[in-house]
Amino acid sequence: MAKIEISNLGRSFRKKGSNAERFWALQDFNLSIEQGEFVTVVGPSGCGKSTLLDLLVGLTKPDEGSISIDGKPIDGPALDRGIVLQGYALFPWRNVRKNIEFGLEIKKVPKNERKDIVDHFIKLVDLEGFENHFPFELSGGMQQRVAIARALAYDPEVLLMDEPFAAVDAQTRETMQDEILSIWEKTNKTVVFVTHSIEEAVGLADRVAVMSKNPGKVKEVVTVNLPRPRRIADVRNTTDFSLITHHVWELLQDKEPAPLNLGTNPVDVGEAILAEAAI
Amino acid sequence: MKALKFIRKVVVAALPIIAFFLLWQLASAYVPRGVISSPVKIAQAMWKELIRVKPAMNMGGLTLLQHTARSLWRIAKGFALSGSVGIVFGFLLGTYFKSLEKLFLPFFQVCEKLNPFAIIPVFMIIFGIDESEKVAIVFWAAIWPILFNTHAGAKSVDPALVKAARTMGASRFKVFVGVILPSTLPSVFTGLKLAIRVAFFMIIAAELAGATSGIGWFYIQQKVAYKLALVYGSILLITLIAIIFNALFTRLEKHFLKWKEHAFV
Repeated sequence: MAKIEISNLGRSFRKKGSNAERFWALQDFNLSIEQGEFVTVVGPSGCGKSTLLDLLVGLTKPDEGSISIDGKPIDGPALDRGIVLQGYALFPWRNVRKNIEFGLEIKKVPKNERKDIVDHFIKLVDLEGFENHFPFELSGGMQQRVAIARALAYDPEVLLMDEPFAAVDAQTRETMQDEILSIWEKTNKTVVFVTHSIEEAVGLADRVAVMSKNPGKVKEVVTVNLPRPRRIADVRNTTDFSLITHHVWELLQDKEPAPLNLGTNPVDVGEAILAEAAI
Repeated sequence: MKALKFIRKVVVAALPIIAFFLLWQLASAYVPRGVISSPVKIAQAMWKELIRVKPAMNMGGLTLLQHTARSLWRIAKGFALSGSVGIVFGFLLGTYFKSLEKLFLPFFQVCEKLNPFAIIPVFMIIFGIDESEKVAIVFWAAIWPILFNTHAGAKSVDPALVKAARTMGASRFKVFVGVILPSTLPSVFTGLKLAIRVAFFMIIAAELAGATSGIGWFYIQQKVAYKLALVYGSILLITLIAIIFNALFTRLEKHFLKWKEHAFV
């Protein structure tokens, strides 16, 4: 059984100034994700990525279809899912340690156990020595690491990430991508990672769910057969990476891409893409 | 090094104040008698009043310290009342009762615009000229800055933080105590600081308008008796107490809000 099973999912909103007409953010959305899989969701802005995450978190309910974890329909937010939101959303009045503790307080973990858990995750995200700093005293990348540690601390089975690296600079972004990969390899969580960057989506994922919009649905799920354990810098210049990236790009451009033939075609990628562009 | 810097800062800030009193002292020798008193005379007269054990004549059987204590007690009661009611209403209207907000907020805003000095006589009629009238006046004037600031603060809580807490399965109670309350605290403090100023204005006004004790009444009695040094002295004393309270609140604020970025640099 798949870890996360999304079938025929539909979510609509009332159109402004009209009671009857509805705008479908998601419709006929199908995706199933295995335990321990790293799936990225990529799509144009307004394709319903955030709505999908809200549904996965349980902040809203589907109008059609179903969305379940371990066979159980999602019924509101719970600690089996951790989420890293866009723009960190750290509590500014809590220092690093207290921020990471927030979920543990909800989980009612005893105080003496909390300290060990927090220490472990502070080490995991490489923030030793910053335990007592407040968010405003940290750089963007460090704040992001706190947000990741906060989401991991209460030991969720599924980690949801909503464009977590959109706000950090390019160098930090790449470091963070490698870090999230290494954390994922260490913890074996199921990860659903939403992004609008094709390179990021392909670089991180086992599979990339490419979405189309109006209404939002999965256009194609692209399998990324790049080697694991993976470092972004190692795979970025490989032929397969370029082919997959290009394939995803074509999907997003609403073109009808040729099927992927990875590893079988020794033709230089640049030439292949150029040849295609010439047609 | 840090202590030295602090001393320098204090000295620089104190210079204009010292200069002001020096000029005052000099001027008092040239201004016709009976218009202003000199700082030295004021200090002497006030000191005599402050250490007085038995009340002076026509002082309602109370010493200056006792009058001051009466005023402070009235402020404390009015302020505590406006603080608790204002904060509770501010939170309710700013968070869980949006429909009531539309109903009540415009009304409250009109209430705030009423000149609080002008309604002192009305309060005298309603409550009589006694303690409850003074407390009511302080309450009435001090509640608005607290209520409006709390309301504005509660409304401007970052939705992303509420979302973050909710995604972790936080209960409504936890969202309130863990997110809305601490987010709103800076605005609450802004309101409280404004309110304590207003409370000092109003208690003096209320005691001037009609009372038998309190520092405002003490002031009026000195004016009637034409004891210039004590007239000026009571004004300075009131100002000093207000400054002390303001400093106290700033300290409290610093203690609770040390997480606020660059707020107190």
